This record gives sequence, structure tokens and C-alpha cells, in this order.
Amino acid sequence: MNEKDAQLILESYRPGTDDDSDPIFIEALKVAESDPELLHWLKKNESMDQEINKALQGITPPAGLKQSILDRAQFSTHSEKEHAPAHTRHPSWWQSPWTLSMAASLALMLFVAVTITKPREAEADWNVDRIMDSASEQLGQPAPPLSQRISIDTLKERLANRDLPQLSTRTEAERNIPATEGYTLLDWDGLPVERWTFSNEAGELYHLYAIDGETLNPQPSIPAPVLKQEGEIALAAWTAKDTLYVLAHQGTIETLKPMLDAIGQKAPTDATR
Amino acid sequence: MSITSDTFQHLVDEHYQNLYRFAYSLAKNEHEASDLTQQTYLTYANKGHTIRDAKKVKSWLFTTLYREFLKLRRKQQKVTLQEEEELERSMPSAAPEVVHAMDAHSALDLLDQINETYRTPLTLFYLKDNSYKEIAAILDIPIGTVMSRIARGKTELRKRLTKKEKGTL
Repeated sequence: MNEKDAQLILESYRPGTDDDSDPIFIEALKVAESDPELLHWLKKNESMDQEINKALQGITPPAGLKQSILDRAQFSTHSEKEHAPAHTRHPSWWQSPWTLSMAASLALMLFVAVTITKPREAEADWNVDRIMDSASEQLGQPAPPLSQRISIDTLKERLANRDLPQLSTRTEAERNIPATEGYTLLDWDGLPVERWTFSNEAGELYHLYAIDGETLNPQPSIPAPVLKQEGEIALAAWTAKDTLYVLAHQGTIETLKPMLDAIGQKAPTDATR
Repeated sequence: MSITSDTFQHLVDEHYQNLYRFAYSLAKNEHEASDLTQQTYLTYANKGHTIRDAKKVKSWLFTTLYREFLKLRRKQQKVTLQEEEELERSMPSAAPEVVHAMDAHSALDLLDQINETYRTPLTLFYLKDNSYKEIAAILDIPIGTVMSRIARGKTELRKRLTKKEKGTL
């Protein structure tokens, strides 16, 4: 390492942090120790860094921010325990049992009223992004055991035959799909969602969600799969006829692509959301 | 990884101040900085269980905040010029806490003059909460790029400081 390289590296060096044990900085510091000019520059550089760091520490969060974070999250984690995706912000006074029970009664009455008059408006807030977010959240929930997952071949066959039943078209027989086919019917804040659980040869979990596109506003049209990486979850979404499909997997887009191919969907090279 | 209320409380105690500072450096106003910080923790409350490695939680929080900011900025770019001007007029020139601590305001002013490409890694560098490897993960850029952006950002910063000292800025 020459002086120029060492200087470039030492620009990122912060004494008193983990940098002290990082081999790249240790080596650059050795170079600086044998070069008085570089050492002088380093001292001046550190002094400027300390001044700016100290100044930035003067930015103080507003009073009450911490409590507000804790209040909001408390409500959110309670919802999560009940396996319902939480998306909306709730003020803390909602947490009182009386308010919650009143709100639940009111919500039930409104739901019944809306369902009777306009059955599809309850899903108006759902769009592809929100569905992908919820699919991502669901992967953190307990999954059915391997024996209760659909085989890829059966799933592929069903997809090819457009044979993944939707709520609006399910027959009496389809409502009794055996547990071994990895089928679960979910209710996401009023949106009916069909979920098929399966795995690859390594036993890694995949979820395929099927949603009636006509219940969404606007109705999505995604002829070829679009891919999205959300933290440690990789997702793909596409539509076929009036159905929106979302494939979710804990991994990367690269590990999701072979499964897309396996179930008969051509994985795109660069179409990301 | 399951989230207990103790874990959550600990994460808030540990990081909320620096997350807020980072948010403030990005958004330049208290209201949005508070919103970004809260939204980050809310997202963690909902999705934190998907993080397998507890060591990655801190950089996950910073990454989430940065992405939330980019989302917010994309939305804001849709606001018309006239609305933007009205918005600027209605905003305080600086939040009370920052006015109180003039040094912080000056530092932010200074960083604000740096090319945006270098500014965000440089701010994270100065906040000292994340290693350069974590900064690379937060901004989704290679480690070498982080180092060169910090170096270039500092070069710009020194030029600005020199001009300021000479009274030409």
C-alpha cells in the first residue's frame, strides 16, 4: 500500500470505533506512521471529523418522539401477534379496551352494511404494492409442515390449467381441498386471499398468493412477472386472466427466479418494482 | 427473529437519536425527520421478525429510513413548483432544537453544500453509528465506492471550509 492509497483509506477512518481493529485501517495507519507528512494530514483530518461529529450530535430529537415511537409500535406488534398485516397508524388512545370494543362493534356494523350494499368496495385500498408488502410479512408467520405443502408439479399443473380457484368461482368441492395441497384461505383486512405453500428440493419455503384482480382498484395488469426485493424477502407479481399472483420467498431475487421458471413463469432479467 | 417489547425498547433507546439525526440531515426539517424515524420503527415492528441476524438490525433500520426518505422525496417531486414555494414559506427556517445548537445547524448547512452523491455517505460517516461496510449496505453501494465517496465528499468539504475561512462563501 502506498501513501496515496493509505490517505484515501484513512479518509474513512474513525478512531475509537470498530475501525481500530479493521485490517485495512491498521495497514493504512502503519503507512501513515512512517510518513510524517501523511501523519500530519491525518491529525488535521481527525480534528475536522471530530468537530463535525460533535456538531451533528447537537441535533436533538423533539421531546416525546421516543414515547410516540413506543406507543405506535405497541399497537402494531399487538396486531401482528394476531397474524393480521398492520399498515395503518393508530393513536395510542385506541388501546383502551372500551374504545377497542366500541370500534370493533362499529366496524362490524359498517362491514355488514357495506358488504350488503357494495360488496367490492372494502378492497378499494388494496393495490399490488400493498399486497406484496403483506405477502412479505406473512413469510414470518409459522408455516405448514413439509407434509402439508403442495408439490411443485401439482402447482404447475394447476397454474397451467388456470385451476387455482378464486373465491368468486369456487365450487363446493374446491372448498374442501385436502390439507396436503398446502392451501390456506386468508382474510387480509377484508381482502380474500388464497395461499399455496410449497417448497423446493432443499425444503425452503415458498408462498404463492392468488387474489381476484377484479376486487382491486385499479385492476392490475402485469403480463410478465415483476420482481421486488424487500429486506430478506424476494417477491414476484404477475397477472393471468383476472387473477393477481404473488410469489414470496425468504431469499434473494436470484433464488426466486428458478422457482418462477419451475412453476412455468418466465423470470425477467431486469423488471423490478 | 421474534420481537419482544424489551428488544424493541432497547432498539429505540439505542438508535432513535442517531436515526433522527440521519433523518434530519436528509429531510432538513423536524416534522419529516420525526415522521421518518417513527415510520422506520413502525416498519420494524411489522417486519422485523423477518431479519434472521440480530447484528444486522441496526443497518436494517438505517436502510429502511433511507428508503422511506427516497419514497417520500419521489412523492414530493410531484408537487408543483408553486406548491413547493408555498411549502418552503410555511416551514420554519430551522427547527427550534437546531437553532438552539447553532453548531449543528452550521454543520448541516455545510454538508448541504456538498454534492448529494457524497453527502449521504459522508453524513452517515460523521454520525459514527455505522461502519463503512454498514454504510455500503444501507446505501446499497460497493464498499470501495463508499470510501471514495467519503474521500471526495471530504475534499469538497475542505474546499468549502477554506472558502468560508477566507470569507468568500
